[in-house]
Amino acid sequence: MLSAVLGAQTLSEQGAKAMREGRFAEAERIYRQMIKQSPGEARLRMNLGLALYSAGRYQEALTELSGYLKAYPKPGPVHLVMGTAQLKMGRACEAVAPLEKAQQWQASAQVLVELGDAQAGCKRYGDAAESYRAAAKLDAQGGKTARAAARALWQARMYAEAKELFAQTESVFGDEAEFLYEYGDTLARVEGAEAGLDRLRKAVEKEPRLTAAHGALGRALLEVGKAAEAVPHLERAAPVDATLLLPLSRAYKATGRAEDAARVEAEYKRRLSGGK
Amino acid sequence: MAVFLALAVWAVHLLPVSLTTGETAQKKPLPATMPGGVAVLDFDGDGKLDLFFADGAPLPDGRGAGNKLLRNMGGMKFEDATAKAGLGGSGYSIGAAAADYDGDGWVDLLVCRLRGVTLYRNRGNGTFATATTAAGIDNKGRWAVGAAWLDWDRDGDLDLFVVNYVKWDAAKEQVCLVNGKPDFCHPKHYDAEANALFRNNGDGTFTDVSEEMGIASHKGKGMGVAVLDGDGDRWPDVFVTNDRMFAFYFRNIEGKRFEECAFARGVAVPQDGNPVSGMGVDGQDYDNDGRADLVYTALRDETFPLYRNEGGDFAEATSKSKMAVLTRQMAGWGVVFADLDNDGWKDIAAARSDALSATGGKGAAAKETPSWFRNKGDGTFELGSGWEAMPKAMYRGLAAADLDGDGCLDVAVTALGEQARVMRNPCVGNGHWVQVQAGRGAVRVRVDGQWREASTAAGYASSNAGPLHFGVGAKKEVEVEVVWFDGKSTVTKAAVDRVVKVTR
Repeated sequence: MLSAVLGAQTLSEQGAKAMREGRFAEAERIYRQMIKQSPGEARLRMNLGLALYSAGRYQEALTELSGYLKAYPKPGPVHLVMGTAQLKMGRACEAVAPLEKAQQWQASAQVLVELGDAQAGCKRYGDAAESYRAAAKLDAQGGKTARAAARALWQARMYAEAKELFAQTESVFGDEAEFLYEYGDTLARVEGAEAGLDRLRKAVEKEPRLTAAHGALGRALLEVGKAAEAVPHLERAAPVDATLLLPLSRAYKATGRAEDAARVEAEYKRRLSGGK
Repeated sequence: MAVFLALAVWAVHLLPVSLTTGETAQKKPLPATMPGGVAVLDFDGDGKLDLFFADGAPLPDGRGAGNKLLRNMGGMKFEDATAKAGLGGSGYSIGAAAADYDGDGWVDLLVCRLRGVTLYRNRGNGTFATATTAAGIDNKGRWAVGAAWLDWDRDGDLDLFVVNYVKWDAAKEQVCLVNGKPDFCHPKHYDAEANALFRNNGDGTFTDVSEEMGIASHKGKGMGVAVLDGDGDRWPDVFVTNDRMFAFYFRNIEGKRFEECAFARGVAVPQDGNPVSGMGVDGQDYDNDGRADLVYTALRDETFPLYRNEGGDFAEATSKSKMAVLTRQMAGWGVVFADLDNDGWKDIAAARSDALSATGGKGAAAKETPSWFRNKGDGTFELGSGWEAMPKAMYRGLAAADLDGDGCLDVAVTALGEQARVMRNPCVGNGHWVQVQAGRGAVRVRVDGQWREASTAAGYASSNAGPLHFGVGAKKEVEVEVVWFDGKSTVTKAAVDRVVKVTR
């Protein structure tokens, strides 16, 4: 890509060499000097943008790359760099549009994964799942992107499809607590609480600090009538998820703790009245 | 043991009515996702059930569209009788509630609108007169979604409960993005509204008793209403679903006031603690234990919660009944308990689709097919067959009625921006049936061991004033009991496969 832009001039060669050797500050200095000499040459701004991006100065890079795109708006690798820069700055929603452009240029596994990350970060989980799934088909290793697709589908509440991908990737990721939680929760939702119990139990055994898994396990245990076992898990998760106060209240009631049940139900009503 | 399976495919009959929404690709005003209810009524007394459709309108002015009345000509043919009947209406309509409020033997109609309600009195000659003002019914310009006629004071005439949604101002409508595209805003962006209760004075007029009866003090985002005697005290209670808020259960305290007790009854919110987008609701006895149960629709991952009446208090049966697994990936609107295969167990029929726009953030994925869930008679349900080929659409209102008089329930559904349709029950291999046409003052009806509440409220924004349908399996004769408003009953024997008329 760079070679198409850089000419034979000395400065250009020096700039390219600096980039190759990771001397990004030197590359920046060279490209700024060249822009001074040829301010109308948009491709120099692309080079400067790439240097800034490589130096981790993403906001400045975006400014220069945007200048390039005004002259050359056709979908290309610069869109990928811009989207990635937005992602690195934690601006997932802003990353989606340039990465969609990058996808038009080249629907490679790398582009699709970046796009999936942006969509997932922007809570567009269904779209993210599609991107990850497409990436998984292109990725020779496949495992990580399929895992990411499974998570995005789970986040998108597309449980039936998530279940298939979790099943496909369990041999690789089945020892990870988060995987077990997401898969167990998925099974509990699509097949019933009993189906998710084993994996949810394993998830909290492997990582007791995974609060959300305690919540899912507590709900599932209560649903299959194991209120006493559910109580400690619900107690652990309820402080960070007020919706769990109601099942906790029910679990208390079922285990003869009427006063605790009433207190927690009142807290639930107070916290969630007015809608969610 | 006889086994009744509805394996044949249901034929789809498109109707000459299409729902207007007022939605555009860029503008998604909230009312545009809310139409439209369907009401089943025999407005001309010819014995065939007709259909009324509440239609939306272009927004923001709400002018330019009209409601539709389709007269049943038999053989699944319907003609547009709107103009002659005078039911075209004006403004943006959402739902309808049919019942004979003045006791003259002709079914009247209340239309729920974005800016209030309109009462139409059936003159008995195929035409209706607007009676809202004369009747003294004033919903104060609030956004009414649906309504239920019920005799809550047990004086023999039908009173009125109006379900109101949210405060909405076209000038203040926000632009909400879903997946980067304009779409309908979440209900959290709108203030809640109180429902309304009117007492029928018995002389064609009504009195607003919302305040004194304890209804006005509870503000919600009402979507559906069911009337049921949940605690068996013979005073009809009212259950209201709310959008992303706790549901209301208004317990009727001997006609003196209503007490909101949804938490105490166990129906405020599903047992997992996640408040849901409560949509359409129905209250009937699905397990044939003589007590009215509840089912309502909600959105994806919220399931369609099912509550079993355990003698006043309710226990959530969504998981045990398999409805949780069956409906987890569904979003629903209209819903009714209806015995579609005449096996003596009420099934559940649901109109499905997302609340988001099909041209918004979810795109065409917002469209779904309708579904029915076959009651296996052991407390569990399975996915019913025969609707698989139904096209995906933005289904909303739904009512189940025997529109072709063959003894099997057909299902009328509406869909945003598309023609309404009737799914004709193939009626193959079904059991016998009885339809009970109970006269004025009927509260509950029993056919052998099955009960139905006599309310005409049906699911989402819809209504069914047709006879009460009971599948009776292999039986040749049944006992019919009608319980009247004063607690008295009329009991009679009846042969099957016929409409049984019972008057007080």
